[in-house]
Amino acid sequence: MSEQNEKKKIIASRLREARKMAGLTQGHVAERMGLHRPTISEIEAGNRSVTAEELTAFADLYEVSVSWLAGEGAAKLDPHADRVQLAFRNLEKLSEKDLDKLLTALAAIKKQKGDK
Amino acid sequence: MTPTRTDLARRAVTKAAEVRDRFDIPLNAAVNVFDLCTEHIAPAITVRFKDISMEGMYLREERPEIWIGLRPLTRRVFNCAHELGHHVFGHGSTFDELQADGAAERPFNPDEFVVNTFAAHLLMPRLAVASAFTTRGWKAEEATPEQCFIVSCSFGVGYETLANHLVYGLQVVGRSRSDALLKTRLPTIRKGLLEHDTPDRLTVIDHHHTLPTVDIEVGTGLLLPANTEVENQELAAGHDTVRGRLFQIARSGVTRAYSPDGNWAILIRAMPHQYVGLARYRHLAREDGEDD
Repeated sequence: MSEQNEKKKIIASRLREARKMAGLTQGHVAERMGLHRPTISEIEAGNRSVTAEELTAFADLYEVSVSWLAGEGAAKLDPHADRVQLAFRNLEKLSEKDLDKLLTALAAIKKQKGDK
Repeated sequence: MTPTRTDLARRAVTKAAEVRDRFDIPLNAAVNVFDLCTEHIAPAITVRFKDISMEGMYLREERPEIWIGLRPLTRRVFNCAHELGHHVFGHGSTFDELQADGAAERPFNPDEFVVNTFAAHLLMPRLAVASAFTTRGWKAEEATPEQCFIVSCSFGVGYETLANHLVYGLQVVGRSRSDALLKTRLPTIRKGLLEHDTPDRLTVIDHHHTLPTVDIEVGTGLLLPANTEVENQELAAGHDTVRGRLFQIARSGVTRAYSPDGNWAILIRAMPHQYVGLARYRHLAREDGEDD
């Protein structure tokens, strides 16, 4: 798979993940973005590219960082990172599955250089 | 000098009153804490409902966030107020792990004590509790389990939360009453209200409800005053019982419930059971089997 295709797949999967984390259906998103529902489905399947403007609009809608949606950075935070350990001392009590969800959600909202 | 529990409690109660005052929430009324965080506090706090086994999290960021774990809705209400406490007291980011019912008491933590007390008094200030009982012709100090349950519904909190608040927080219920309040379980109360017609989850809203809305989950029974009608019957279909009209919440969305004489109305805001997502989208209409 080319690097470009790989990136497209990552963006598609993060868009789907972010939508589910926001509690929206594809129908809700289509209505708010002024797009047809099958278009959202195509975007989340990686069959249609998104423009920078669309990506920003998705990030606003889902309240996640644009850079994470754009495929930058890791999909989830490193539980051993100092900042994470300092803030959340009891994470080891979570199940592996819950920890994974939590670290993914933390990565999704983490602002990076260039994010508004 | 280390502050005593009394000092901490006083600080928490004062802060809760300040927050209510700042956002024009009368001290004798209930508050919707999700709306308070997302629509009234500036800058707004993003509230997310997560499918994670935890009580909640507070993220101290440029745009602060509160994450609420997978718990019953009434517990989610209290936990949101608890995390809001971390925010208003300027605490750092905090993760509150799941507290199993009946688990051994943890070591005393002043910050947790302060925000728990804050949450209780933000949601159930003394005046609002007294008012909730007196407007119904009851006395808080003589509260029966059924009365305590109905009042807890008006605050959106759990029965046990209000019962504990009456006994230990406000200390308005004497020893003889407190045992009955603390030992009575919800199925018994529901059965007492509706006999054989009891849903597993029940909310009771009467004419004394102080909020214009009621947040409720799909699958919950909503007992409203007799003769109440709803505009969208696909969202909530009702039938008459000895205690009023019982509506079964069938799908998420918003609909108006009203008395035919035009004297009373309320907005029912239904969200999926164990909703996962942003608080601001919790009441969006969803069709059965719609993609997730």
